[in-house]
Amino acid sequence: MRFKIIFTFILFLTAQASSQLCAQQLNIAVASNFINVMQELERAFILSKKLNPQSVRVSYASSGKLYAQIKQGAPFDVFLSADSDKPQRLIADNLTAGTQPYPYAVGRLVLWRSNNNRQILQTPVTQRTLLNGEYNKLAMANPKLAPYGLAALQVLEKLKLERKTKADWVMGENVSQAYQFVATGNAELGFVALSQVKASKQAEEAYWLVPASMHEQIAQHAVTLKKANNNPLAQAFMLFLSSQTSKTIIESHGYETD
Amino acid sequence: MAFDDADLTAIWLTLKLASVVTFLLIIIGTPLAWWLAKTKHWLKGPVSALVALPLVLPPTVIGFYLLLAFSPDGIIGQLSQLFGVYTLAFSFWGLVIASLFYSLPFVVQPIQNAIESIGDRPLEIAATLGAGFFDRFFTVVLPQAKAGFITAAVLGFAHTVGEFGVILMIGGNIPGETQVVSVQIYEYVEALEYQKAHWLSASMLLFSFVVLFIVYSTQHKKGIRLIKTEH
Repeated sequence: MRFKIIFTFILFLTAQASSQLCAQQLNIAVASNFINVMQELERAFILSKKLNPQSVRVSYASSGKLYAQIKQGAPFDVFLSADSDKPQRLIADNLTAGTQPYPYAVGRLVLWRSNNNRQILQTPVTQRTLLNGEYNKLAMANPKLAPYGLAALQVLEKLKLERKTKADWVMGENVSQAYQFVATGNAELGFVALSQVKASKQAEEAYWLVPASMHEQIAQHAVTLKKANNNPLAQAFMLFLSSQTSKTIIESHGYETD
Repeated sequence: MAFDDADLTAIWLTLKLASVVTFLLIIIGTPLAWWLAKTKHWLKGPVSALVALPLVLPPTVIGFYLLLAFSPDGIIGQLSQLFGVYTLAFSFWGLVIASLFYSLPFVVQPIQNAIESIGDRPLEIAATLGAGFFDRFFTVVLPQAKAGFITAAVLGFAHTVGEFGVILMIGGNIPGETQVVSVQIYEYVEALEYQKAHWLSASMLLFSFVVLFIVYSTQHKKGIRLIKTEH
């Protein structure tokens, strides 16, 4: 009797698993800095296409890791990178369905001050905060690895502050880590993403929106991958990504769209 | 040249960190191991569990809590501010404190096992011959538990060299201060500079193998099972 129950259960699980295999499935790889936005996009996409929620699977990791996984044959249909470089490499590697990446979002850089810094809490953060050197450490993402880090470096170069501030730099491997350093108060000042300070509802005096003209555009590109060649869901998602619905969601999180 | 200046700096920093941590851990770990080996106090269970925690906790948990503890409002941060240090994050000594936690079981457990395997009898005999506590420790315990101490030192050193997740979270990747070899490798891999990553990674692999090889062959000779720490 007990054997029968277990057997039926296993049969049920197998059937479940294979039904998922048969149904149309969309696997999306997304740069983890986009997680908040993507969760909302995913819901809106499923709703608008009346899909089974299980038919869309989203994996989050750093763009570099996702790039390496895709090169090793990871089963993703669409890749939303946090930069424009990795999609370009995948196109060069002949791993994409088309040769045209789609710029789905443009990130904005902010200089953000930790709440822990009591002495100068009253004055709003501006370019002058940086010039006056009113901080212990300056957090930023690693310019070698992250577009936000590169942008931060370009801003410092533009202000001719690179040499002066270098000793105070602490680098996160990505912009989330730069954010952690400031959020915990270990670094009093840091270059982070507008989307991050928006997500955590920071007061407007606490950050300076760096003019976009001071650094290269932080463009995030998406590509359809070879694996998706016969997958209509992948095409539908790329179309959805360029729709007005998507753009409204993306912009509400502190990104710009083209 | 296989290694550039940044690599050499990272290697030197890693060896320095591991040496300082091993030295401090032997000093802190020995009395702790002694107490754990000898006591029948009810606190033995909780303390043993605390010591072993880093074996099972993901480095992200340790790193995250250290980041909070180091912050100006945190426990360690408030303490360090008394000494004029705003935060220990992003500093060499911050890494030392993190590594003390992280490598503690690798030092305490081999020493504890070695002391336990000596048993009470030799110490009682030494005491009847008039040997005081420190006399007994240095002439009876230390020689007999020598293999345990060597294992503890080697494992503590090696484990600190292999530390990554915690340092990534609290270090801030500062060359010469917190940019250790494992972090440097990670940066190369993420930047797709695989050739440079290979050189450092292969060195790490070789180093770790040699260290473990030495530990296991010395243990084999002595016939004592010292590492029961792992899994």
